Amino acid sequence: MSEVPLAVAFDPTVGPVAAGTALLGAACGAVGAITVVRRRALQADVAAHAALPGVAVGSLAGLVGEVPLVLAGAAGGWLALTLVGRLGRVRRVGPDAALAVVLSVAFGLGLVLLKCLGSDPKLLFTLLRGQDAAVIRLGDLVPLLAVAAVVLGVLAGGWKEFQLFAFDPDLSAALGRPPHLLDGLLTALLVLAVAVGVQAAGVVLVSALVVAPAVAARQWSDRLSLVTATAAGVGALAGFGGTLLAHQLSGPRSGVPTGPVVVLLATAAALSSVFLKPRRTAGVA
Amino acid sequence: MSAAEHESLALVLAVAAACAVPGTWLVIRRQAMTGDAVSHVLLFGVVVGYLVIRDLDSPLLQLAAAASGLLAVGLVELLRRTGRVAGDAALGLVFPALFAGGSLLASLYLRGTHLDVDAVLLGHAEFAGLADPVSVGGVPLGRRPAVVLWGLFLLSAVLTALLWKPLAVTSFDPGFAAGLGFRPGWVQAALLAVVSLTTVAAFDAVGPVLVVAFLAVPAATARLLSDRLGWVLSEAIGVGLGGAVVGVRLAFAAGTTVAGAVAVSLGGLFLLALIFRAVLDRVAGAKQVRAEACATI
Repeated sequence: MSEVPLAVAFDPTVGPVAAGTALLGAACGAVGAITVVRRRALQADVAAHAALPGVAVGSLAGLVGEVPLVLAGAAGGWLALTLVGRLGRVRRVGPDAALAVVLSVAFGLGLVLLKCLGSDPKLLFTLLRGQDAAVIRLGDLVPLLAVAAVVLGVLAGGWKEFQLFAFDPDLSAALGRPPHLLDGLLTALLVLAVAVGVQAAGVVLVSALVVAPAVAARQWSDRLSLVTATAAGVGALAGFGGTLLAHQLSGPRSGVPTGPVVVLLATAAALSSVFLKPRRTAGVA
Repeated sequence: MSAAEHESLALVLAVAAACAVPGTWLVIRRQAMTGDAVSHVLLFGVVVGYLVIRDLDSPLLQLAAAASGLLAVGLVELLRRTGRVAGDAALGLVFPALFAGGSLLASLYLRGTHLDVDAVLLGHAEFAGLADPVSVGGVPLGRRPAVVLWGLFLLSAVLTALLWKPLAVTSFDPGFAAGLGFRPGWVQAALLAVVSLTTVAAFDAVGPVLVVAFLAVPAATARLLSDRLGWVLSEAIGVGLGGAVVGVRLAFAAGTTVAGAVAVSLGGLFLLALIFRAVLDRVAGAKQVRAEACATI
């Protein structure tokens, strides 16, 4: 990244947008740590693809503005994950086929609805590939940042309960904690983080924003709190650096989407952590 | 039925048939999400291949893309073997990264060429009629992409027949299969090679995301209907073709994307099969309860 003149970060339009994308990355990274530890990495992908029909139905129902549409996308993700859970328990279907079926049908449904609606092609473009670094403005990001902040706040607020539940759901239940509520909350945090992350990376790539920082962070610590904080940091750095880099790569007429660049940076962090860090003590995630 | 609808139906039927066979094996082996990963990675292979070869019709491009699918699966396996990344996370790490690489390269170097990213992402079965027709000895066979896909369907059918035993045994118990002298690794590689080739060929028509619908949904539907492998395979082909017919009609009636509409129709067929199975199980359950009651009396 040495070829990126740091001056870009202080550009009045780029700098704040990069900082905003950093917060989206941090939310995805933090939620990702607990998701990956629970072996739910692929659920992020399903939630992302299912955000598409969620947003489509939302805009069909007349919702406008960033936050209502993000919530609609999150609702789509929530429904899809509920469906994956139920289908996965059907003996003849199983978890793997449940993921693939729900993901692909939801994505198809989203495309059909968005095309049927004759919706704003810009909306579809953003959903598929994330915001274009050249056109995004801070004003578009502020409402999303509020959602990301709520996600981080709830995660931090219920941290002890979430941690216990992630590692030992039985003990957590035996201590009188409501398992369905905790599972529901964690799922809600995941689908919300994914729905805001879609703005940064698009539906196909946002799952990497959830998984990659967590894999990177997991190599450096065995403590979930540290892993989560590190993952949030990696996500933030990838979001920040990726936005600057995408802006740098964009020509005067041809914008480069931020999503792929952010994802490649996060993946680079994960791969270098896996292959460079000396042997870690125990466990996989 | 308009000419355009006729042309896209011909193409989508070929996609459905070609995907159903390897898709069934993936679902039976609980690797449907690996199929998802492979299809995403092919974008990278296609873009890099195109940058080198500069010819969208070259068979080398198909091979390059198929090779990238195998490469990605190898990479996932490598990550898994480090013991530091769980299987699902390894999958979730590798395929978006290669997809990101592919779409970044495409947006940097391929703006406005045939490989427009959005077309690649969504497929364009609507324009099936623009492809060159192919004829052998004066007999017209159809458009080029459809002919290639039917060829791949034949290939996977022949391979399935030839490798029936190794495929079946390694699907259900890889350890036992290895003990019998089968090579689970080679069988797996052959299957993924066919999946990659089929996915590349289906790319233009339906895009990388919806290929998964064609791979996984017909097989998952057939799995709900039958237990025997032979039945599951033939029903998956039937479900795929049925979904294609319904979906294309739906797409042209509603003026929407063909690939998306077919995915939705396949989803509808899956739902019907799910209901059918639930009813069947309930009837069987009631019968069993009655039989047990009779036995105790």
